Amino acid sequence: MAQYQNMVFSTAMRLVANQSEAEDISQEVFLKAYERFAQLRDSPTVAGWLKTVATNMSLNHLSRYRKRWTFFSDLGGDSEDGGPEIEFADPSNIAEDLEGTDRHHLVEQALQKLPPAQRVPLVLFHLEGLRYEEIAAKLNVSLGKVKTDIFRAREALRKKLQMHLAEERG
Amino acid sequence: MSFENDNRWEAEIDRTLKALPELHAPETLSRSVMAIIARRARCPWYKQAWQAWPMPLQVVSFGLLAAVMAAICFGVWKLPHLSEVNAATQHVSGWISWVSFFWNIVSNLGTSLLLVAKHLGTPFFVGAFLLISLAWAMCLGLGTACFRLAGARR
Repeated sequence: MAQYQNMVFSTAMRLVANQSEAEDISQEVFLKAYERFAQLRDSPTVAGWLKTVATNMSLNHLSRYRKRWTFFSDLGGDSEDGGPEIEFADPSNIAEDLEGTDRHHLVEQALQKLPPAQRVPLVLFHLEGLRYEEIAAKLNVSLGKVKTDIFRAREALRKKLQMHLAEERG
Repeated sequence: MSFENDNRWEAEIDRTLKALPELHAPETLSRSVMAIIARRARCPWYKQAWQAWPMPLQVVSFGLLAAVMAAICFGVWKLPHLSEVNAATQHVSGWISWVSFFWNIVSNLGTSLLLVAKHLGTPFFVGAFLLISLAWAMCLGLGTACFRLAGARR
């Protein structure tokens, strides 16, 4: 368990963006694994199994507890940040700027501040390596919506990172 | 933003996200999992889920359930043909005659309401439906406004 607990917790945390919920999900994942201990003990795919279960449980959790807010959140469109539109700089400049700071911490923070509708497909695409079609099937949304949400998520992430960098420079 | 910039940013974000190190799980995670496993292990078999029962008990309980089910099916098929059962049914129906009296009242009331509805006609129901829809839309609008207001304050 010690070997995989960070991996399971990271998977859940990046999807639900809430420490206590991610801990609960991780706990459930390991209890499920314990029930199948005999099958998993010598399996070479145990890490993949744990990651898949953590992903599915996180998605179930999100759909179960947050469905009621989806309607209201969707009404807000893309104005959740509230800030004025920024003319973005060349992406390579942001990347270079990030090199000089606590890059991982900044990205992690920015990722967790994204709304679930953008964060979840982004994480599934870039971190879990799922294809657009697989994400659409998992989230039960159209392929077009997945592509749009991921594009918006990248833009929002860029905006948040630029804001972080601007704040740091004072 | 240009198409080229989009592609570069996609590649950059992909590289950045894939390079993220794993987050540290809280210290309490392994402790709480172990505590739950220990608690489950202490729990007697009959308090656990059927899947966790010992195999002989699973077989015996399954056999018993199948026997009970078969007995019920046989009873349902055989009982109505017994004269004692018919007599008992008549006896019981005498006790619950008040139920039929009550049912008559409800049935009459229902028929009366149906007649009234027929008399009022379709326009009345269309109007009522529109009114209810309007009230529902207003509730939804007010709810959304309150939600947004609460969100803005936060």
